[in-house]
Amino acid sequence: MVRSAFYITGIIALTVSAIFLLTSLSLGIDLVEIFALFLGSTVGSLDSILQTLARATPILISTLGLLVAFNGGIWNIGGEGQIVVGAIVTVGTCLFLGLPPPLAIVLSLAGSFLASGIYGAFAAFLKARWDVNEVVITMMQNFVAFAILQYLIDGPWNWGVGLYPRTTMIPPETRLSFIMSPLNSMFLIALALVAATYILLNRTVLGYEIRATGANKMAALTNGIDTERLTVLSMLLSGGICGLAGSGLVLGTFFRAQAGISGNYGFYAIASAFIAGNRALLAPLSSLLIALIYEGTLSLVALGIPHRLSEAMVGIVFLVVLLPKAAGWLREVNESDAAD
Amino acid sequence: MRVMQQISSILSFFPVIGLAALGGFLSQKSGVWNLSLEGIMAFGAFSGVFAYHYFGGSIWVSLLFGFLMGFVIGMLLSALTIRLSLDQVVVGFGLWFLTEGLAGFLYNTLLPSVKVKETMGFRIFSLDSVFYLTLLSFGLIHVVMKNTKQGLTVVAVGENPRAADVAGIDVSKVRWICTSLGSGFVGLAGAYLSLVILQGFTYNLVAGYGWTAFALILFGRWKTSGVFWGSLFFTFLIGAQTRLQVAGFTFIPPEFVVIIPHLGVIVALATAGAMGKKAGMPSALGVHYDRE
Repeated sequence: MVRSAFYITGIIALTVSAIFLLTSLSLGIDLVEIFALFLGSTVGSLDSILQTLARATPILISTLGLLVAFNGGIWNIGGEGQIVVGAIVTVGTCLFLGLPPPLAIVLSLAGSFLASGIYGAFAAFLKARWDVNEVVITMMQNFVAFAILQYLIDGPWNWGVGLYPRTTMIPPETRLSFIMSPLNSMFLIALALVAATYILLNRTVLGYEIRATGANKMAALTNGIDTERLTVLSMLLSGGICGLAGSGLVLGTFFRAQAGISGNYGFYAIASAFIAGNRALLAPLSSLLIALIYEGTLSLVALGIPHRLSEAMVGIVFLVVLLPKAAGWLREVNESDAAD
Repeated sequence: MRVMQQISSILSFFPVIGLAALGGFLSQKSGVWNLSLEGIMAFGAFSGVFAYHYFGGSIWVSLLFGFLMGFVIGMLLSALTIRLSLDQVVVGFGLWFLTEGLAGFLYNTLLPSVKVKETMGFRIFSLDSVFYLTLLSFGLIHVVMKNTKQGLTVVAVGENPRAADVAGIDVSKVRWICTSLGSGFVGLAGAYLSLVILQGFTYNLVAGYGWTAFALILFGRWKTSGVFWGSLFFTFLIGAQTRLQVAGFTFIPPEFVVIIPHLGVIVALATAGAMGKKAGMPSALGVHYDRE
């Protein structure tokens, strides 16, 4: 695994450099300046490192969520919607239930896990029972979740704070503490989730059954695995973990619900999960790479390079990472990885 | 008369949905998922506006350029999935990111904000020629799929590539042609959206229409007629949604009126599934064919 991580990082570094070279040539911006700003704003100082890690946190959590479904052979692209559902439940819990602070935080996390899990499991249920394509359903569910959030912040949950629609802030006692601002303790929860997801997928019977279903459904079925149940269960977990990302964004970052709270993390997580080869232990690395690209390109706006570069860059990185697999360069590496 | 005007104004959106669905349909029929519809539409939309600005301001040239760029992306998709045998779903997502991001990035760096002043000239029932071209394409593909050797070849490749190969059909070539041509249609749909409907390019202009088109292929159960009626139905649904919004229809909050088409897709697919109507998916869809 260390070797494939090394290869993938190298490939991505080369790709990103090539894109910068092209950008620099086509826009006539000094290449050194681009690199200096990109690196400076992501790893150049303690503040920027913390900022990058804070950016990586929701991406990492969503990546872990998605790769549970991907391992089970389900294409969950509803991460965005599940993040939004988690955020809505969290704001609702913290604002309206009036619970004592520690309980409010625990209940927010549990509630968003459950709600987003059920939201995701709905698509899995349709898939398991009637073979309805989950790519379409989860994608459409994204739009539904956006609409519910927009409705709440336009209407019932809008108490006229600020110029644009958003809820009021959750009480300070129900917020997550900072490790070092802007990095909050959701980062630790994300790291714990890495271990939990790894153990779930690789060390438990449930995880084995999920992966067996994903690898070969017919074989799993003939071996007595209830694949219908497994499909629903893996999406319940997948959606639930993505919901935690949304909960964390409210509890630790924004302290409120607002439009675009999911920040495309649910989509970036698709790329991140693929780059990690659907392995939980590689997810921190792939999420960090995506966060680097996101933060770095964000700073490049100062040089007149649009932030849209980030999305295109993730797409290119994503495809480039796939190429060596196709050419069989990584076959040997992957085989040596099969041991772990 | 006013009803007629309303109907033709709703129908003017039909090419966007119809052409995109038809393009994805063509590729799926030959056994290749095209999950990048959303991105290819965005790129087609950018390409159209780009060509309008740099190549002399002719709508037809710009639409053609959108088609061509879609075709090129289709060739890339074919190369990655057919030639390099990469997973179609993974490549589809990657290309979606790449093309959508690139469209926004290039628009921002290469173009000033372009306002398309020209409109389509020739009209029947106040609908432009692209609308009739879309109808024609549906009709043509319907006939080709049903009654010609070429159509049967495509179906054979999508259903059973090994048998097709034994019968002397070049499976890769058929898939390559269908995927690229299909992507061209999707690019054209995007170019029509930016050039004719919106008269310019904005971020997120595709707004999920690519995914709606994708859903319509499943909704139409992989039949040309099914995709056609589905596209027509959703064109009306989208039209109804914008009109309800404009009319200040307050019974349903405007935020929910916006997602009527998306909810429609969920309900339509779920009920079709529940009623057991899932037949029709090409058997080899998404399965890479290896001659070994």
